[in-house]
Amino acid sequence: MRRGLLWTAVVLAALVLQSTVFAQITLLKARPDLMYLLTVLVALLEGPASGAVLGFAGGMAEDFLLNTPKGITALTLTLLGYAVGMVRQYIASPSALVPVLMVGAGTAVGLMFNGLVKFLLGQLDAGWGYQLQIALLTGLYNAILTPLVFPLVRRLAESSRAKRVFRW
Amino acid sequence: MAIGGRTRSTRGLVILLVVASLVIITVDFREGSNGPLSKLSDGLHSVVLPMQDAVSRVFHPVAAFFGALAHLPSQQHKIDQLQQQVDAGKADQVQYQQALKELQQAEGLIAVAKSYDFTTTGARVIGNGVSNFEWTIEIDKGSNAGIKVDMPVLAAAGLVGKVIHVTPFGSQVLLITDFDSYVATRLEDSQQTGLLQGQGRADMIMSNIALSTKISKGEPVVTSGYSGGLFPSGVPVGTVSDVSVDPTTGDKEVTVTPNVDFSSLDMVLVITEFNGG
Repeated sequence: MRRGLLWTAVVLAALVLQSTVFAQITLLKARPDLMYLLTVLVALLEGPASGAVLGFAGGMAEDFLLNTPKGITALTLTLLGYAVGMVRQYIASPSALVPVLMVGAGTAVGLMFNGLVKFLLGQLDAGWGYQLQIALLTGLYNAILTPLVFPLVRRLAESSRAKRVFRW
Repeated sequence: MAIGGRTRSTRGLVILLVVASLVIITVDFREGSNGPLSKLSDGLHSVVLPMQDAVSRVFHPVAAFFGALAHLPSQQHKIDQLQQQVDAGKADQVQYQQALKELQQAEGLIAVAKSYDFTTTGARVIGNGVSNFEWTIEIDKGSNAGIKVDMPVLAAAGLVGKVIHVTPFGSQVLLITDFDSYVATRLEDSQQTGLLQGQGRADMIMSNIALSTKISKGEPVVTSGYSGGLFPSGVPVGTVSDVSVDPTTGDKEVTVTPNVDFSSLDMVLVITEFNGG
């Protein structure tokens, strides 16, 4: 229960920051996407199930602030969270580069998948070249943000887990 | 066994979530902008808007700092000031020329003078769209200030867009650069009209203009009002940046650069009432 509230607050905070502060940090037409970043990090820390649930919730929240057919981001992030969580189980390296690379690759692949779904729905307005440019740049920016955001998300994840164990 | 069971339940959960997403995509795609999902969306908007307002107040200096970094080493403040002067000058110039032209058209004189007589409400821009694929802004006035869907939004330099979502304390504005934005416009010199569609990051495109029309680069483009139209007539929109011929229709296609710099939009005017609307 407490855990759900905590992650709801995190998702809302990410959404608000995304639409205010990060909306104005645009370099070469792209900007970081906190919801992709958050989904990948939670999937890395908490596994595929949590990754998928947070991706779904965050994606829905983002979709409902947009005009495009709702649910596309939710679908993307659900699968992204699950995929990253599954892949994580096969990576033994404790290197700090793992989250950075996972975030970069996850964001880029996720955005391309998002573009594919939009294409299938006839909603890909801006063309594949633009989609690819945005996907790669957003992946890069998210990867750059990872060293700042990862410790924060890890602390949140640990505190939420600790409380649950204590209560049980 | 335990691990196997967990994997299976995770897979079930993911399948459930994916199906839920697909259902919502389908339902939303079919119901359009008036269904229950859009109502839910309005609800979320009214939760997030006040937070956006607060955060954008607090973080404005931070964002401005990064903005300055992105725009390379110049002083944001000075740019803003100069930009305002340029915008004001551009708007004055276009409006003056427009007024002059319409003076010559003796017939519509009084009617046109009235068409400039808008009732407006000022609003602060408190947020930009959250994605790289939608061109919208959030403003801090909503239905409590009399804002309704489809009302036109202006800045000093010209047309910004139209209201597409309203909550009590805030609204969402679709910019004219969005792919879903269509504005009936007119070329100032030739008086030819055409539909102007947003192209996202690229300049807007005005299509279906007769091949015989003479169009020069830098020619101002203004809104062309018509009875029952969304936008009042004669509002500056942009300037012609390029002219080409559409091979499929044989009509001229005009690329239009917007007058308004959407990346530095702080205050806008919402037209709540205008004659001829």
